[in-house]
Amino acid sequence: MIEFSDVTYEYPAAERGITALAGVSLTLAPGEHVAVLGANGSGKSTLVRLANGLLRPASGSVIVDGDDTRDAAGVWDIRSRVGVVFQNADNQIVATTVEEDVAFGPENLGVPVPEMRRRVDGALAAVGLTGLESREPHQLSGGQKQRLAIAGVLALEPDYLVLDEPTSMLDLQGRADVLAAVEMQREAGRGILHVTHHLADAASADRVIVLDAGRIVFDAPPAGLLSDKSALAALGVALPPIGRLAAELRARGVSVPYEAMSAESVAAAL
Amino acid sequence: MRLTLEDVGYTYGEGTSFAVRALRGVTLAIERGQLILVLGATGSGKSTLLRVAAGLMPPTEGRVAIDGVALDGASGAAGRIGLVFQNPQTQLFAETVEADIAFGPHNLGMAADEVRRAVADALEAVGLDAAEFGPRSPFALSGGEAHRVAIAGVLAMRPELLLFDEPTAGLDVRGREAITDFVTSVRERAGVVVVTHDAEAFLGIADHIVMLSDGRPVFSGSCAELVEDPSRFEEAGLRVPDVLRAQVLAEARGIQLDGYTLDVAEAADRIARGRGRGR
Repeated sequence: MIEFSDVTYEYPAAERGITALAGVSLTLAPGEHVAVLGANGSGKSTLVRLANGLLRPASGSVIVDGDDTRDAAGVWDIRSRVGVVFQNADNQIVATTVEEDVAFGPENLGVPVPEMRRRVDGALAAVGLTGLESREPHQLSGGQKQRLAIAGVLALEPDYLVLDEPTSMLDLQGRADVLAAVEMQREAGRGILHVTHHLADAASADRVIVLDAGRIVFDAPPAGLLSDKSALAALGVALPPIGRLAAELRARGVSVPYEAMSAESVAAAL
Repeated sequence: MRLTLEDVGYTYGEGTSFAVRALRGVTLAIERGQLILVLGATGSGKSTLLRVAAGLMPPTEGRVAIDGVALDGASGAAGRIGLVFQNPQTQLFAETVEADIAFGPHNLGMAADEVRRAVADALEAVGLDAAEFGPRSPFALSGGEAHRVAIAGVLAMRPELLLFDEPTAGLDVRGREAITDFVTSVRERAGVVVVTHDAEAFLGIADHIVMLSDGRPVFSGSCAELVEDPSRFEEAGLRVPDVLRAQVLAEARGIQLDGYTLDVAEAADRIARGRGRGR
């Protein structure tokens, strides 16, 4: 379990001078998928950096399976259990071929070669990059690089996976592929904290957390959020087009359920 | 200014055993006031097309020309074509937002007061307050703000043609709407080419759409033509936008529609009417 208890974080005045997170409490259990939504600047990326001890809370605590991220001695152990995939894939790619890049993390942890082969193949398969093992990362398209960055973290077999907008560069099919890979990781028992701009990505989560100016303003299953149009609008988390179509149909007397967030589920209600 | 691509193709590592033919057979023309949308799945050749159109890479087949004069190397296009890369915020480098945006126009030889005006205009165009953001460090911005500052840096050079590579990637809904509005307004000053897989954000405002699949154009025409046959998205490896797919599925359920539309309210009207007729 990852537990944030009344966490406050403030960037130094010279850098930003604003409170990035104020009194945030949340939990992420193994096998749970929690989506984090919020406008740009709402504190999402700060939350990600606090989850594995890259940042330490100014007050409050972040505890990972009993270990406090403020305990400097344990922070490397925490980071091996909480894998983070950042927004910009280019900054996370280090090696000259795809498979070496994925192997980089486990190699540094001293994973033996046969086990490494299994992990690299498994991680590449999970993100749909099988067959590109010997490609040079710079030859990959933006979306493929993003999936490579995710594979690099999966190869570490962390207990928790923290994703900071991993699908922002991907096309719809790429997003669907990554979400399917994330779903597999959840089924494998990993806790998933998924920061996203895409409301549709959050629809499959167990819980959705909405951040607004560093505070949690919503923490509940997604269906509740999707029915609260005004709350969504206030947060700048607007309904995706299919959600707007559902709302327009409701306004015309067609009973489309609030959870309907796909073309299939809207059509099924007709 | 009119930029033309005539039967343009590009092969990476041409003549070597690693050669990859990333693009072929692209013909298009763009001038001020126009917005051309290039759609394609990951790896379809979109980014290659943009780099070739910007004059960063000479085409290995065909010809790229400005007002009929072929682009030779980067010199011909300097300052005239602005290219906004994916993740443009990674290119920020100066101590303040103002200095970062001023770098390009300054290097083009603009006078100091003109540079100041260009910086202020550019910040306004991307929806950032010059007094608030100008003196800030570009490294103390949120992701979306940094993205907009980077775009302002290109705009300040007052290019005649603006090329965007995935401009909405990583932006929230407000940021996406701001970019869509911005692209709409900037075409008064410059021709705009947007390369993206985010079809929903730009389809409605594009004058012309080119769809790439596996390096080849598989569709070239208007939004209305594209929407008539949603299966074209699938053929290009893209998912059909949800609003269109809902209409296709509604028809499959026997609801008669009067054609497909991307307009959400119009789609709801047609579906509601179609259900009424069915009863």
